Amino acid sequence: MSAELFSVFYQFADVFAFLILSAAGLAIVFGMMGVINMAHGEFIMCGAYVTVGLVKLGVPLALAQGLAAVTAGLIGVAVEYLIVRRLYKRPLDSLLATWGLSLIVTQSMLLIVGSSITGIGTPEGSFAIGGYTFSTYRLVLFACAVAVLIGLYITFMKTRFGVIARATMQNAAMAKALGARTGRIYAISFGIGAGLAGLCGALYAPTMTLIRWAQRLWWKVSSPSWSAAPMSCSAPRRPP
Amino acid sequence: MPTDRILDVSELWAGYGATPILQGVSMSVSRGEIVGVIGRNGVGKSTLMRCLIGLLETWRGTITFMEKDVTQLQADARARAGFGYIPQGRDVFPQMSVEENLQVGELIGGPEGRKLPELVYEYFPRLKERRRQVAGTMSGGEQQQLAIGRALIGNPALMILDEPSEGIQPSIVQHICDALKSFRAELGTTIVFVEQNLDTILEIAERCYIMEKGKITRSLAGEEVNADSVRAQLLL
Repeated sequence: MSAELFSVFYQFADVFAFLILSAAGLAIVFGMMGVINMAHGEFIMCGAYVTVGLVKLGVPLALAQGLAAVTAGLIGVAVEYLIVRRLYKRPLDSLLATWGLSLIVTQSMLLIVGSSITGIGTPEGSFAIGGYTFSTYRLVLFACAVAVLIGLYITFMKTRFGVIARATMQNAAMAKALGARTGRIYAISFGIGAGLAGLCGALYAPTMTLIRWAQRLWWKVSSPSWSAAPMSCSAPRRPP
Repeated sequence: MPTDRILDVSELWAGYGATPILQGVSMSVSRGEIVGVIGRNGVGKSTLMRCLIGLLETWRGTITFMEKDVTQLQADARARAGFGYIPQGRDVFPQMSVEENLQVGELIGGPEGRKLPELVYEYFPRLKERRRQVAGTMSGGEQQQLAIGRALIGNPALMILDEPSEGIQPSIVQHICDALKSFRAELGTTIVFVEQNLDTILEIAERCYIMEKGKITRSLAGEEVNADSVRAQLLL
């Protein structure tokens, strides 16, 4: 009975972790700036590729994941400065622009890196409870998701940046009239959103074979058993 | 040579879209003055205030603040230079607590800004009682006190108020008027305000500029600031 209960918790934790890690950045960007970032998936991809690349260069996994998140965040700041900043209060235009960016990045990666690269293997091994085996790394992902939530709460509720960011979110003109550098707040927030997307990709990189989004979609549609598709969450497996 | 002028506005033009609202406004304010801008609805008083703080782009003309041309500065830079703004409708941050609203003014005030939360609570004790309350749930009068406290906490040299008595019960309006006079007396704050309420104008204004059709047409000073002259400008 306890094994079944743990299995339920494990699957909940697995889905919870993926939803939180993949959507937190998207929610920040939409909540702060009203921008539906269609290129969010590409920031996830960026985190995953940077992680795999760095690990293959010999960088320890945890460090590679941190660097991948930072890289995605910095690219996010650049994207905000070069593209998104001009499209605030124009939700459809910003949606279209980020979608265009998404298409360009996806196809560019396809041309540059190819259709797939070798993964780096899931760390931490597995453990058994009752008749089931579970991946330890999936629990690490759950812990990371909880840590991200706590970190975001502290950042936005307990820090100087958070107070000013929430004021900017509620009334940007008034925050500006009180002296807030709203442009900088937006850039940092977009960077945090992109960084969280990168972190998601970095954390999930060891669990999947990397395939560009467009191909993954095609693969999912055409595959008879798409539940085994890359980036899908694996269910606990019964040993033979 | 230094002057006691804190604000000089010269031939200011501004508007919305292609429609000019301000059509060559010129005015000046000395340090420590309380100056009212009065006129009928739609003559451009609020537009002038938005232009002064930098929320509306200036088409032509100059705004000089403490002997520096701030015409091209964004609103945030003007706030850091010493402008404080209390807009029409208060514009408190509705989902943040009273304390957090004040923190925004305090934090943005920067290292030069004096941190005055206790002083704000002295002027407006109601805010201290309600410091954990979400600002959007407060009454209009309490929100107005919060908006003034939020601007004051950044220690502005010039406070700009747009209709501070609008929609507020008379006893609180009187309290706000007393507080504004105290700011000037105790902190040396210069105040420019737009108002339609005759009692408020007579209570605090030392000088008034009369606005008509996007221009300052005349000014009232000293004895001229009386019920008959002000009423004539508001009604005619």
